[in-house]
Amino acid sequence: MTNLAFCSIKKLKSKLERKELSKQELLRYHLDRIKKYDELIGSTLEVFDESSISEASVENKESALSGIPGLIKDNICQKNRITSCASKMLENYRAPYDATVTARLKDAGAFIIGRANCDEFAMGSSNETSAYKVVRNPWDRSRVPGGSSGGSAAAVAAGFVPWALGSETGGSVRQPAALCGIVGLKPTYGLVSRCGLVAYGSSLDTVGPMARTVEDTAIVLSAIAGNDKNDATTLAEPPQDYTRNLTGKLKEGCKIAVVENALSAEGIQDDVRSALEEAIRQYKRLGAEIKHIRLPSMEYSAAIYFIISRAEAASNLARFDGVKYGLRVPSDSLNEMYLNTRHEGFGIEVRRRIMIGNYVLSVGHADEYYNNALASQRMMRAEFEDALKDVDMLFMPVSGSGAFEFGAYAGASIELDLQDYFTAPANLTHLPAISIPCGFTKEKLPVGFQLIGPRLSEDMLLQTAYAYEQETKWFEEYPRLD
Amino acid sequence: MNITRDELIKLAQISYIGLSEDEIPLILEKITAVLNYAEQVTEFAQTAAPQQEVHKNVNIFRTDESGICDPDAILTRAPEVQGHYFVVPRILKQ
Repeated sequence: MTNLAFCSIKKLKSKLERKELSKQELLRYHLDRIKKYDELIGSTLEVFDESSISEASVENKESALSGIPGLIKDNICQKNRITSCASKMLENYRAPYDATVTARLKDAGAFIIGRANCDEFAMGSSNETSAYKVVRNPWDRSRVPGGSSGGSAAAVAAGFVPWALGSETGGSVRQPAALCGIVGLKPTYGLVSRCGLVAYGSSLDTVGPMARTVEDTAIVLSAIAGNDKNDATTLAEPPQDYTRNLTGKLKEGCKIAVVENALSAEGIQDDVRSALEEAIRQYKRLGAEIKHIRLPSMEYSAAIYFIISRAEAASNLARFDGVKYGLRVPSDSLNEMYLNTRHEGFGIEVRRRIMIGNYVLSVGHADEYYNNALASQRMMRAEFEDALKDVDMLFMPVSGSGAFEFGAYAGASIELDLQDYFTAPANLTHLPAISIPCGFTKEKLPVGFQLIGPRLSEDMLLQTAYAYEQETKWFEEYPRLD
Repeated sequence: MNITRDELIKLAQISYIGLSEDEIPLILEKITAVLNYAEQVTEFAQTAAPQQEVHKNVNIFRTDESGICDPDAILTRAPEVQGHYFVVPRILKQ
């Protein structure tokens, strides 16, 4: 039974179909594994009881996810379950409805077994801002898993579940995926519904699948993607099977542009750069034409992202005022109630981001910060779209280093915020991007690269990622927890 | 851009964010660092060409139609209710 932990979704499905084990046995196996090891990792905020998990899902024999356990990040609503966003503000809040992605997974027969830990309100890159507990990287428990979807990434890497959902505003699926050695996909803005995702930066937010292999990622994407009448920003995409082009070969005449100024950026460790360069050579061997380009706007991405995301966070998080739901700290006046509730309910990073957001939106500063950030974002979109007219996709790093130690960036430094440096461009341009494992640092910490494609090119990105993965098979290595 | 302690306190007030005395120095330092870094957008935005209007974000509105809502499901999640109303602390003095 031990190898069940690292089986692909397809393998698990075939074991179920051949009646080698039942759905309940498979579920119990994963619940037991979490019970045994999650004390070491901290990837879950809640694991549901066995009977309520299967009762919540629909019998769907056709679906590849039928009876396959997974986790959902705790900022995505699950009906009548707590959705805390890893915050004290929503510690006891039970969602009155399922997010569209949750409902689609239940309709696909998937078993949603709990709530994945994350940074508070998805604000962080190390999972250190969770109000409940940190998440430890399964490859080295003295290090962070990345964030903000750190619980989702760590749980998948540790073999607790074969798939999980994360969410991204500036890289929160891809960066923890890279740091934990798994695959993470940020879809095109509008491909996956955000109805029921607790909003952070609404013009950037997306929900994304995370799994150990490209195929598993494609299976989960197939279940959640497509138009939703409850999210007006979703595109008119019909449901489709994203596994259909996973042939092991690149598309005919595949052209990949290596973003030179990203690869040569300051702060990329030598062993990370070597792993990235080897991935580029592998693509050459697979038959890709490699071009080298520069995208100067990329160097401003973190600055643009800081402003837009914090501005939208200030607006979105204004709703947490102790009146309609969530925490209320009883006080003598309404004003005091607001202040006390938001002081006690929000951690320091969330409060800091709200204040920055209000500052960049305030009279006298909005032109300098917010409006200039929007103008810069438009230039970045134009530059990325132009680049993608000549090539099929862009190749970039995800993070400059492997997973770092807890507290490595404590204090006033913005090093931790700069974890979004390589990932934020895909969010700001609304383009799809996938993070794929490509080896290890000298300390045996996972490294990933990302491919960014034109709007709605998920199919091609998955095909390209799969061809690389089948040659290199990094997914065959997994962390030992004993 | 260096924001002062007084500006930070004002910013916290308009954000309805409570701050404790011991948090102020670190928050001030961190916010200043983020804003200083973010200032580089000014220099970049100055190189913008007018045709880039096409890449603007546009709001997408749905049709405003009434739907079914169960008020009890909403009210059971509120910290304090009376009948079908949310209760808040008194605003006007008696």
